[in-house]
Amino acid sequence: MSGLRTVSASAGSGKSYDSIMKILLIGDSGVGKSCLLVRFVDDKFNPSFITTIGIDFKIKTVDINGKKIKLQLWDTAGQERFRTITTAYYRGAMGIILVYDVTDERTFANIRQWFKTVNEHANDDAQLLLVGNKSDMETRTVTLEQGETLAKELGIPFVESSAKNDDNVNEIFFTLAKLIQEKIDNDKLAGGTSGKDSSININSGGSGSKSGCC
Amino acid sequence: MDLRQVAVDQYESRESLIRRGVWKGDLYKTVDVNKGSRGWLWKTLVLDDDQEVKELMPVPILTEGSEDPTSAIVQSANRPRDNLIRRLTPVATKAHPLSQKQIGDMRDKGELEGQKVVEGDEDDEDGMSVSEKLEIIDLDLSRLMLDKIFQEPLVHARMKQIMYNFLMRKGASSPSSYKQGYHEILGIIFLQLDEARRNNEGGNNDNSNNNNDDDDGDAVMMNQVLCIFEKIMKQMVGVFYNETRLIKWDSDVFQPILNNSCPELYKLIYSNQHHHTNIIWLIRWTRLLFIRELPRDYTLIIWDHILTFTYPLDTLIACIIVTLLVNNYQNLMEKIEDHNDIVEFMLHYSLNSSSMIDCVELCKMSGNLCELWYLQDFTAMKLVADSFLKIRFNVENKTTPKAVKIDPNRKRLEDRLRKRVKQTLLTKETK
Repeated sequence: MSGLRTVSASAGSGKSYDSIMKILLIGDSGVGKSCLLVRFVDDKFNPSFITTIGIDFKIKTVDINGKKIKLQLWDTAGQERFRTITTAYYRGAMGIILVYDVTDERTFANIRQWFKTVNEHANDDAQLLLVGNKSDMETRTVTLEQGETLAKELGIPFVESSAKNDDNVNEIFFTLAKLIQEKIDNDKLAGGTSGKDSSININSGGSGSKSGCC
Repeated sequence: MDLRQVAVDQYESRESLIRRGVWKGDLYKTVDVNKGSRGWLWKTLVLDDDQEVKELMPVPILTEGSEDPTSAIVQSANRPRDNLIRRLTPVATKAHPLSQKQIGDMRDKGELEGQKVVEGDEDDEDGMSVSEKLEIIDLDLSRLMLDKIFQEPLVHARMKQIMYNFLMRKGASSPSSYKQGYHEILGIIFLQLDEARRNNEGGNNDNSNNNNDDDDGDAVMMNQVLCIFEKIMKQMVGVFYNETRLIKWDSDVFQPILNNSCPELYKLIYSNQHHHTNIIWLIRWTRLLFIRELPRDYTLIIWDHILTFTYPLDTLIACIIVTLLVNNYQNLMEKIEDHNDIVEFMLHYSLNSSSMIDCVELCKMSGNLCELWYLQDFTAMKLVADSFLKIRFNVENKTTPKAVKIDPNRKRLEDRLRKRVKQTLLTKETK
């Protein structure tokens, strides 16, 4: 099964979307994965967000070029390193966001571990994005340059964000959606996968800005 | 009415309190258990009369390079917590990622594909040091939102000390593995006993200024919290907090109970499922015992039943989940189209559930299913679910087998069960 696909709603099913993108957030406990999700989906922020137990997810449907794309955003407990369940969790993931905390070097160091997990379990087609969260904090220990360097080495895009100040949060998700859509389009051109609803206009619904993204 | 007084007046023994008060639901008709008296109820249900009060070990403050908790500096429960926390993935990368060989080069050489990722623990060893465990406990406790008291430094320190003692006792010489979720279970227990203690203090003004009595009371309460926590976790950790065993519980207990009770729902939820899809939602349902899925007061009544330890926890939890699913039969049948829908529905159950069965009735029906499961009376299990569906939703189950010659004893039992389900549901509806 391809990890990159759009799932069209069956005609007359009453579903309020045209296609789905499954996106995962991974990273150490306390880096702010749930806060990023809550900021993106509900536009709220709480500095002490409740611990994620096991797996949770949120849905955000974005209107893109007249089509509704349902972003299915999966969030994991940072402590969990699933064995068997990993296959279920990573299955069908079209985009994966690796999150670290810029105020905690250990979470940055562990990105490499998470990257290995992704390489082992996720589909080859899955699009990745590295995110350094909590960029508003003055107690930063990981520089922007370090984040950029690691992203370059991993061969994935990078963005720093602040769920607290709502900096670059939309960009994270829209950048990834764009990457996913580009992949779908390229595959279609190459006669590859069966992606149907292309043409995601990522400027719609977000700021369209790519500030902080390399 | 005061719960203690009612209990003393109406129930001659703990067994009677459990049977009539909790499982039959009499207690909830006469007393508002939520008003600070649940702590007393739980102590009565769980603790032995001659419960020994042991002094809790203080939490060590570990300096770098010192991981032996017995030789470390200790931190008393009254000392405010540090705010220096974070990280917390069981097995950390040893070196800085930027100092390593270029990942790109490794990928080009195909080295990444061959590397095995070190996974987390399955048993008691998680590869985390004591200080790392204490760090993650600190982090989780700082994010415990069950009540505002958990933001108080003293409460935080007490919770940490209880958790540390739990892990130490469980792990013999060194703390055993800590899993996220333990803290919420502990939090719920602490909250009930703390509320009961505060209420007790409020009505006991003579002693309220006596610091020694307060300290003794705190020590006793922390001991009691630990004891209740240990008893419940004894049944939970080995099943729900271990991924392999959770999967086994799903296939050996939960699925058969669901399949025998309501084959239509089983088919909907498990047919063509991808590998372990349902474990994704079952993790939280089982590990937190419904704290996140159901309203607090409702959940606490379920916990009252759980803490009677009338049925093994793994079976009772399976039966409660099955009953909740049957209670949402129509909703599930109408809304679910694929497995993503199921996961979405179950992870956001509180938003999606359109009908709530009375909590005591939920527990009664779950208890019935437990008993029938142990008797391996699958026909009666189906009958219980079918009767419920017929009465509640007027769903006529077409797959009910045609009448065959049934053993008269079995028929009597089935009739009795049918009658009991009908009576309880009708009683509820006429309220």
